[in-house]
Amino acid sequence: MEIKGLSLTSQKKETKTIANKRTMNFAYHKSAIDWKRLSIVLGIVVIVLVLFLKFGIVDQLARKNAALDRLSDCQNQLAVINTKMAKYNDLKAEYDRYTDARLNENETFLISRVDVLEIIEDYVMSYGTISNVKIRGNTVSLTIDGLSLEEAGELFEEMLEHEQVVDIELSYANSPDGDIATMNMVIEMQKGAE
Amino acid sequence: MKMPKLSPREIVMIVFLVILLIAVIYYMAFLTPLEADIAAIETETANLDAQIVSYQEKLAQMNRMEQELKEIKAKPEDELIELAPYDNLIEVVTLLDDFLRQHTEQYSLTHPDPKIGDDGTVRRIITMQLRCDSYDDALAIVRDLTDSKWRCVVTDTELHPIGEAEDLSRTQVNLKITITFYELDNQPKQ
Repeated sequence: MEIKGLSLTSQKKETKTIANKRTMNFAYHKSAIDWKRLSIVLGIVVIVLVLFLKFGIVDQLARKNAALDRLSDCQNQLAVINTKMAKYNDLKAEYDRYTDARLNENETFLISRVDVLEIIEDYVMSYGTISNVKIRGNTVSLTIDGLSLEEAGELFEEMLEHEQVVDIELSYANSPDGDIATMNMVIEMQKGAE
Repeated sequence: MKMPKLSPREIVMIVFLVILLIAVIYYMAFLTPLEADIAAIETETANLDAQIVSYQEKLAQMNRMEQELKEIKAKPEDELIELAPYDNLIEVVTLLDDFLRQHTEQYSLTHPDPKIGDDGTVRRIITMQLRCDSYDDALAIVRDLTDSKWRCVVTDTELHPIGEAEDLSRTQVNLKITITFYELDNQPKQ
């Protein structure tokens, strides 16, 4: 029976914990850093980094610098040449004025008419009578009279030895007494050394 | 927040991914632009080299021209042959008229319109027919024309004896020549 405010027995409960561990843990917390391992890893990282910097960065930049140096050399060389070339147009105009630079190839290689007429005078006139001379390009056509076959042969040989004579074509008609009535001579010539 | 502890396999994976990322960044952001720069520089250098080679040929040509001009200008003034500026018709006709009057009394001249080339070179082709006293006289005329003050080239040339005679060396000669006088038009049509 319980009377309010009065208790005959104490009902208060006490909770007691009794240690039941029978062993002691002496293990201490070791440091997480393994310095030996870390120094090896760091060494490898540094070596890789150095190699990367050397071959990946420095050498590549050196390649670019070398290319820039070559470009700069070329630009300097070109600047020097351009300075010298500044007078090219004036010089070319002067050169064109006093030389035959404006002549085309055919005109440049045209044999001098003076040379042709002199060759005819020196070689042909002593052999026979020239009745016609025609010069077109480097081809000379002559009509010669009063020449024997033997003389025609001599003239042919003699003229072929001339440095400006390239080829000779002869056509002739023989008269009954052995003389050539008319001989046509076509001479192919070339410009001689100046 | 506490980071979960990573297994060695995960660490290796992360390290591998980091290295891969660095390699990609290096390739994309450094190596590729650098290679492009070097290629551009080398192309420009090659172009300049080609330009230098062609200019060096021009320089050699300039030296030859200078040397040749030096030799030409060492000649007496009256032996210099010039390329006349366009239009030099009056000078040419006057020259030929003066010159032919000295050598012959009978001559004819025809001069059609000159041909103007794209490079500004003008070719004034004149055909002349004249009577010469002898073959030597004809030769002298051709020589004098060739050596005249204005640059010219004697092209087609024909000689025939005059009259009944058939020997060029002993009679008067009819000389027909075509001569091209060169002039320079400084404003060529393009």
